[in-house]
Amino acid sequence: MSLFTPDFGLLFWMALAFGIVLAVLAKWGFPVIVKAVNDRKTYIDKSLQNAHEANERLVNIKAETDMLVAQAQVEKQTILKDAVQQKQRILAEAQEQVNELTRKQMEQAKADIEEQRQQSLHQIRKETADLAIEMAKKVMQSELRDETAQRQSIENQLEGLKEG
Amino acid sequence: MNTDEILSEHIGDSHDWHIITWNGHPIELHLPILIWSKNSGWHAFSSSHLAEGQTYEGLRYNENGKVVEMLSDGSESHPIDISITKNVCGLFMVSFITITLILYCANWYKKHPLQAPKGLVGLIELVICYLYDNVVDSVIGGRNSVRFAPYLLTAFFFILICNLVGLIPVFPFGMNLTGNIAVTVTLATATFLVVNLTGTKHYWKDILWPDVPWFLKCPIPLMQVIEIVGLFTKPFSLTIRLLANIFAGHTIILSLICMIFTSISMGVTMHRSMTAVALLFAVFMNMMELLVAFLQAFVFTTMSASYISQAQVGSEEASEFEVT
Repeated sequence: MSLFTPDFGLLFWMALAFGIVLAVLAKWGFPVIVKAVNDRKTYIDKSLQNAHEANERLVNIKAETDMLVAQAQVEKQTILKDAVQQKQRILAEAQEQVNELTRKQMEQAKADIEEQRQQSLHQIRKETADLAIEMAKKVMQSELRDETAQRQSIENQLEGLKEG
Repeated sequence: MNTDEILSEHIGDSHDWHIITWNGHPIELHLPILIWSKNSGWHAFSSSHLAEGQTYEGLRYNENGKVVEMLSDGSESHPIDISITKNVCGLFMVSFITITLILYCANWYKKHPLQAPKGLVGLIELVICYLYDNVVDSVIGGRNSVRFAPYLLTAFFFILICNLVGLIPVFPFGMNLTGNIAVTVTLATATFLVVNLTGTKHYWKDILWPDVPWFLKCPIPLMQVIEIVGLFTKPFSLTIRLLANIFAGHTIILSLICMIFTSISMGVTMHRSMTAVALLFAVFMNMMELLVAFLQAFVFTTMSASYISQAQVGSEEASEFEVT
């Protein structure tokens, strides 16, 4: 059997065998494997990317939380400060109102006292005038009867006035 | 002993599958002979009928071991011989191993989607991925990679298993498949067909009307002749490269083993030292052949991929990367 001139028989069977192998493997063999390997590669790449993104998001969430906490702290401080200010303001207002009220009451009292004083004064004057008129009336009456007695009487009256 | 006979028996093809010679009696499988002759039609019988120069149904071996038909006028005619020879058995075996191996792997992937294989499937995946990434995708590229990968991978595994089967010296292996020109010619023809049947318009234009000064192609079609010769030198080089490498490997290993027996007549000291040297070299050569078995399959695949990529110039699927 020759080595360097191809035998027809071997050529025929080789073509047949290789043809069948190629047909079978090109249909059910290699495309399946290549596709499976590529799918797996894509899947792994995607998973890695997802994990990376998730990790990034996690880091972001932490930063966000930290920021929120810091904001809350600042807000708390402002609220506390506001509350203190409010308290002081309310206290001050109340004090002022109390002062105002006291002042008004004092004024009222002063006015009342003044009025009462005026009234008393008025009455005293009126009574004094009445007394004087009464006195004058009595003097006039005793003068008509007895001059000495009148004198005595005026003397007495005056004495009485002095004493009164 | 006749070294030439031993060499040609081991390297060549035959109608009997010689397993071992025991006590001077050859133990062999007689393989079926299938012959079509234009004079007497179909013949199908066991090759044991032709043993030791017998004539059966008007057929016998000639001095080259080919089956010839004896005509009534005493002349010989060569009928069409599609017998199941030793190499054909080997090819069937290799085909069976290749198909089983790859379909087993493909089946594994179907059963285990998105999982990474271990063991045998993992090994095959390693080889497939290596070839796909470093040969198919880097030479052809783009969507064409997916299109041509099945052919290239089939060729690779077929050649690799042929080579490895040839390295195992015991029955039922050891036949010299890829060191036989019929096998390599068929493989190269397959590549030739794939390259030229899928070639783009641009590829054919480059062959039939290349971009060179008009006087190189107009009155005398010089460039066209060169290009068309080039079409055939490519598969020819594929054929010869694979054939020569595997053939040489088998020949050297067998020659080294034969040296042990031919040196018997040179005296005890010479025989012993020659045996040691021959064994040492045979082991080395076997290691070498293991490398060559992979390398030649790889080279065949790479060259085929490169020819395919050249024939895909200007194709929509081709990437920008082109082999020059």
